[in-house]
Amino acid sequence: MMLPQDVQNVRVRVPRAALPRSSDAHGFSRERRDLTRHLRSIVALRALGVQAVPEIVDASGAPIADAQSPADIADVEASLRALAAGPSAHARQTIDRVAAESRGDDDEVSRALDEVYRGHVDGRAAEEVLDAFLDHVHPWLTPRGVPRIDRLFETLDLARAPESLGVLLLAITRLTRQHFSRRGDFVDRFAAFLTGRGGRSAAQVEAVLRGLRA
Amino acid sequence: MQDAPDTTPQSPAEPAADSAPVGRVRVRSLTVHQFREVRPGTTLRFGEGTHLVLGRNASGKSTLLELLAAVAALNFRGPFFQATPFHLEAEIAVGELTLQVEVRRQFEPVRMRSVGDKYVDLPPRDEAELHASLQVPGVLQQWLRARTGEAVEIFPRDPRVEASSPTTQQYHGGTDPLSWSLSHVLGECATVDIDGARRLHPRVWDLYRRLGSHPGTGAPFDESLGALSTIVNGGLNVVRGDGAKFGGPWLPPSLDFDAMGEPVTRALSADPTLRLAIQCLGYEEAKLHFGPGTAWTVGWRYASPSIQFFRGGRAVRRHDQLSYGEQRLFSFAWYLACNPDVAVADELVNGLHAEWLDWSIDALGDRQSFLSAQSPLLVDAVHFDSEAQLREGIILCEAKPRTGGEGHELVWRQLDARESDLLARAFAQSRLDLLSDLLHALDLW
Repeated sequence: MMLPQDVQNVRVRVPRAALPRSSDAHGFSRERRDLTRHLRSIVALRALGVQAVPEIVDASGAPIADAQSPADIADVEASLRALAAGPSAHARQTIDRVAAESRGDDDEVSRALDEVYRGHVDGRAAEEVLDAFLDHVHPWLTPRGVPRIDRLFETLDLARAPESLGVLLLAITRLTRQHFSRRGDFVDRFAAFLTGRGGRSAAQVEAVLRGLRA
Repeated sequence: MQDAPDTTPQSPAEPAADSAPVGRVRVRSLTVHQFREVRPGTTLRFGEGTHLVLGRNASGKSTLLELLAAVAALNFRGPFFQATPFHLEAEIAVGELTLQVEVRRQFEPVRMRSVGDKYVDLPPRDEAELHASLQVPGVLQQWLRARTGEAVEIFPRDPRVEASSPTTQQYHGGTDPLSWSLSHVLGECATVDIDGARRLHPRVWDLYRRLGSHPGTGAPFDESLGALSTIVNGGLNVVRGDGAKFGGPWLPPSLDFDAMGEPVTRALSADPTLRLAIQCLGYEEAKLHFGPGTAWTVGWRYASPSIQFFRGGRAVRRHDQLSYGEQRLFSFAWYLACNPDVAVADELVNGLHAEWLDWSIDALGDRQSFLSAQSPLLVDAVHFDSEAQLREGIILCEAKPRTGGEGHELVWRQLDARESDLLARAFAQSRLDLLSDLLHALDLW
């Protein structure tokens, strides 16, 4: 690597649009790549003992005086510290953190379902059990709640819940055809569970589930 | 360099794909029952946008791309399929139409008694069978069966499920379903009785015509200079004559021409994608030049053109004088001009600066695309909007020891729900991690 001549004071240009606080940097897009490219340059230089400092610039590459605020620089420096151990290590940390949250999701889902199972065993009215379940699940119907909803479909023990829970679950998370294509396994499992119960034929079950298949 | 007369029209028409697409081709799914070392039963489902094909060397990435390119054009006679038995199923959407296609090829051993009790093994018989069903919602559904050398049959029901008599049998003479095209299959499937005559269903006509003029190359954009070599070394064949007009898959429709044996020059800026590529390369214009056509049975054949690049009104480079990266970018633009709906590219990043790679990805436009990558440069330049796109859009290829047997099998799969969820959430939470880093962290790439 060819080092700058003045290793005591190297300014690395960071476009303002790519600053960590910019919403552009959050998409699955090349803005993120461009931001990290600048930050990684600084990290690499510092690892070589170079005193590299970020310089906030506009789209034309000209320094922006009013952007050189301590807050802006502090944001960049925080990102640089996060990347100091290397991009791979940082990605590993991110995945570990997200995976840990997923484990938290599992606990939440177990809690919601245990409530349903207990209410069913105790002989509470299905409507009451399902009302409580809906209150629990309703806040999860957001993009961030998708892992919990997925987990619900994966772990729901149909034999321990009111029969209508499957339909309710499909109905409240009904979004798109693509969504139902992801629920194919569950719908099959649910159809198998319902067939024969209460004298239902396979055709009757299919009639119930019509529209819930992709 | 001498410049032949420019036969470019004054106001070149934009290609149909860029002005008013009638119906886009999309490969919805591919199932591999048999193909070399691919694990039987492998099924992949695809979305509208970009798909990244990732994996180590010899994990079957190029094989998958070849299959996808052939399926998108429904032509299995390319060199890649030579002497290869296979069995594939695919669902292809063409606008509002859905084509379900199953194609199987096998080599039947042929043994002939010669003298006394002696037998002679003859070359195996190359036999293919193609089943297709066409569905136009609420209008038409028909099944087609075509076998090597036999009549093409149309059925009201699926003959594989329910024995039924064909509504029509047409013998075309030497039927070879492997050499057909998407428009051919569509045309065969959509032929119905109208006023006592066999005609193409009116609902399908526009799509059929568009596919006929945009057949697609049926081959991927290769990892080196194969595309350019195809264009200038005989793969681009144009036949012109009285009543004869065959452009071939490597002639962009926007560069089509009429000629009767005289030399032909076409300004490549007539094609919007090529125009942008020429600008990106820093030239003002480029021209395709065919020498005089050679006499052909039905007219004149034009092949092996040269391509000149202009700056300051002068021809300054020929195609073979461009740098490797320039040749790659230019021939990729040419490939896109020939493939308006589905683009398949092997190691697109090869030879391209990051900015030109971005340009190439932008040039894909709204095509459904399949791109193999060994380099993070490509992975981190592609845009994914949602978890669903990640789940459909990342295809992992791996060579694994065969269970209970010898050798390896190629295992291809897409992300499962947990993996795509982790990736999407990691992206949402961290602004510093690139897709390539996260895939590594998940040990997926």
